[in-house]
Amino acid sequence: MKKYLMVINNGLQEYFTYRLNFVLWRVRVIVAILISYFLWNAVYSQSNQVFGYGQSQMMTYILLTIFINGIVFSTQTFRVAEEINYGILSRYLIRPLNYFVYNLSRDFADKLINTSFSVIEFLLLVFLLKPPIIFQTNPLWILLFVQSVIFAAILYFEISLLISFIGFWSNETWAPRFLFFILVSFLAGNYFPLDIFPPPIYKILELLPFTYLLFYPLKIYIGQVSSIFIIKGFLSVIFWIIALYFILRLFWRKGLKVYTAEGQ
Amino acid sequence: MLRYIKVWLILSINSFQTFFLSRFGAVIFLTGKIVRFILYLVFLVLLVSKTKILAGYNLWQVILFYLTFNFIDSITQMLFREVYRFRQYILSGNFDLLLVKPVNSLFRILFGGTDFLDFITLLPFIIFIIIVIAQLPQISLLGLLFYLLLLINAITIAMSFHILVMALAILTLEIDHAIMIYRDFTGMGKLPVDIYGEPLRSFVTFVIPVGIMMTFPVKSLVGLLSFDAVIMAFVFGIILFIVSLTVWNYSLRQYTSASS
Repeated sequence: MKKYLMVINNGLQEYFTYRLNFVLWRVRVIVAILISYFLWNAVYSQSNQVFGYGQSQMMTYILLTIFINGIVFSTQTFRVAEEINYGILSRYLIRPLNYFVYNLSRDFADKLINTSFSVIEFLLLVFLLKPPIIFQTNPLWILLFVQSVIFAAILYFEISLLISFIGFWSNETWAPRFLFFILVSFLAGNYFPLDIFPPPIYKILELLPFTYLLFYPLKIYIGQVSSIFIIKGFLSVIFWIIALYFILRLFWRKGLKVYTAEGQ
Repeated sequence: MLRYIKVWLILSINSFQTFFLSRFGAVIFLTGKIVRFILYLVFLVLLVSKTKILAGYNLWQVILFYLTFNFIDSITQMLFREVYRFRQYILSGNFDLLLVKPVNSLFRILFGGTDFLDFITLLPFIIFIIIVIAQLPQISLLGLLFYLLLLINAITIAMSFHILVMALAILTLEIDHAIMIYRDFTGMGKLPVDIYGEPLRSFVTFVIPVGIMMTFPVKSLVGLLSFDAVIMAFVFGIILFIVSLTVWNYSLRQYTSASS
């Protein structure tokens, strides 16, 4: 346990070493949120209700994506592909540590610092823009929201790690990650709630794991959901977490068989 | 002039050959860009079909803003791709090798890596833009002329920003985030800047002139931009270009070739 705490500590120190990099990264996150915020603001200047969402619900959804981005989408798992491609993975394989737990620890440090900043940024934007937003006070919704966010973080960790495992079979890992990033941005609901799509498309999206990364937790936070939606969602996300766990194990084992420690 | 066109062609062909080294990656990158363009377009169509109007613009106008942004963004990325590799030239000291060549070093860095892969997306954008303009009523010939001239002005402004970012790279070694922040801010131009509240609207119109680059061409086309504003946009573009060249020359004098 101590060694993984050390990994977290190292991860945090790395951020404080490259402070400018981190600050500029956070500026980029805020700019992306501002585009969505002002777009919806313009929409609500001429209508009180759009796609079944009131202004406060939509603004809460858009601004809280900062927080979800920090806690769910912050990850260092993209480094796994590099470590495979350059043979650096060998160093970890011969050390007395679990590579998955090592990655979880690295991600934890990443999430800790990004989430801390996202909370500050969220409060700052609320203070500056003064949008009508919902502060959820119902303990049940808050509890369900926290649980769904934890599930989303686990799910994203698995998906992102799986993408990095492409490194076992190909050196071209950035291009698939770029495509993956674009798909996730849209299909997770980063720009807009997914239920604005026509019902047949939304029904398909519900079957995909991406829906449970951002849209599902935020929908619960807003409190605009039925108990069937919650139960169905939790069952789906648990199914995806378990299924991806087995897929990850399978790809890890198969990948290690073809791993040649090239570059070392 | 002819000599530079020849140099540009040789460099571009060399750059295009790298596509064949990583065909899979290049195709996936291109697919990603197309998917991103289509998904956001679908979202805009869904949204504005529902609300009928966005910040005073109808669906076709909003689509034209989005297409114009994508056109300028793609052409900028296509032409100035080499800028993204400039930091490595400075870090490794290889910039010295460009300085001693009988070709203007700024030209070499700006246009040395023209990415023809982006050219594939340019043609559909041009066709889409023509189709959308055909849907708009009361388009005057003067409006069309201003639209084209303001597009050229937008590319000039984009070039000036790339020159400034390169000068910054020589002075501070920082480029990666500076260019990405520039791109994120210009991303605000995929929608008319009228949707942004003050003081952000003034900031993205005059400080990082997203408005002048992305919004002004369409506004002039649909007759919503005054003649004074058009002139101001050109003056801004010219002044920024002169400033960027001055800063570039200053940065060259500060270059110490420390890494070589």
